Amino acid sequence: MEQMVDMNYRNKLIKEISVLSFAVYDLNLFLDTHPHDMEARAYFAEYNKALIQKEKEFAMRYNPLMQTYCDGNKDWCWNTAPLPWEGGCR
Amino acid sequence: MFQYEKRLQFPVNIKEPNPKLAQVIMSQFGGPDGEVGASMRYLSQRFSMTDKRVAGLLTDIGCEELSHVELVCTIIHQLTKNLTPEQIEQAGLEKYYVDHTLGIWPQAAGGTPFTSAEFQVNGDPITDLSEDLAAEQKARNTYDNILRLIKDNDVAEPIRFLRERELVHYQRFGEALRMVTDQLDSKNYYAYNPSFDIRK
Repeated sequence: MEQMVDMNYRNKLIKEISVLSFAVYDLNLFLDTHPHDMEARAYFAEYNKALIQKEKEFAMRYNPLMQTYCDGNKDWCWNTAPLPWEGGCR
Repeated sequence: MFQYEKRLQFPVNIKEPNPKLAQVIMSQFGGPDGEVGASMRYLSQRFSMTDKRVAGLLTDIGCEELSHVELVCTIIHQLTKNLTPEQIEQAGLEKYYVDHTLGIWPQAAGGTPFTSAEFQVNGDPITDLSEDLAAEQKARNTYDNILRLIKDNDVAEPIRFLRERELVHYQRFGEALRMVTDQLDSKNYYAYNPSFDIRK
């Protein structure tokens, strides 16, 4: 199975998603109180774009991390994918 | 509304069980300065927050606190997974075990169940934000106390991350308090927000 042989790439991808998502979320909080900071807004736009791309790639290769990326035509794996608290996000 | 994201905010991969440490960390799930209280505090306070920018901030931080609930529960789960009855007894976990087996239930380290009396929704924007600043400091201090008891780096890393988030939230709430205070008229020396008396 693709998932079995490709665990290293899966872990690498989920780490990249974690890093990007953290940057986006922390910038979100900063912009809540500094809405006119153009530098922060540019960072936000850049990292959010990269995050969405990685999340789409993850959903395509493995399983969707959010319902937004669920493809109803493929096998339903939303609730059969690895659980986050059981090591699903190394 | 809310949408679930099927991953942790910070990775947790604990290899060594440690039921004694789990009992201490449990306080950050259901204790007086824990993450359930934090998320309920901010998500409940939003409705009377008159400044919509600050109501938005409370929503964002309240959501992050829900991710922290999941992180703390994951730590407790991995620290107590597959324990034997002997390990449970040795660690003094038997009183918890008799009621909850190895399930995760919100309580303080001392066994007090989670209660909404741990937090307040006063309804006054400045009063509530002042509580939020104190809450972040209390949670940060609890994480500092926990960190002094941890020797396993697999546990320390996510706890350090959680501690750092308290610092960031404290900073953002400080800015939010200034935003709300700046909206008051200059003769309001005592910085109270007459939000109830001057409703639009």
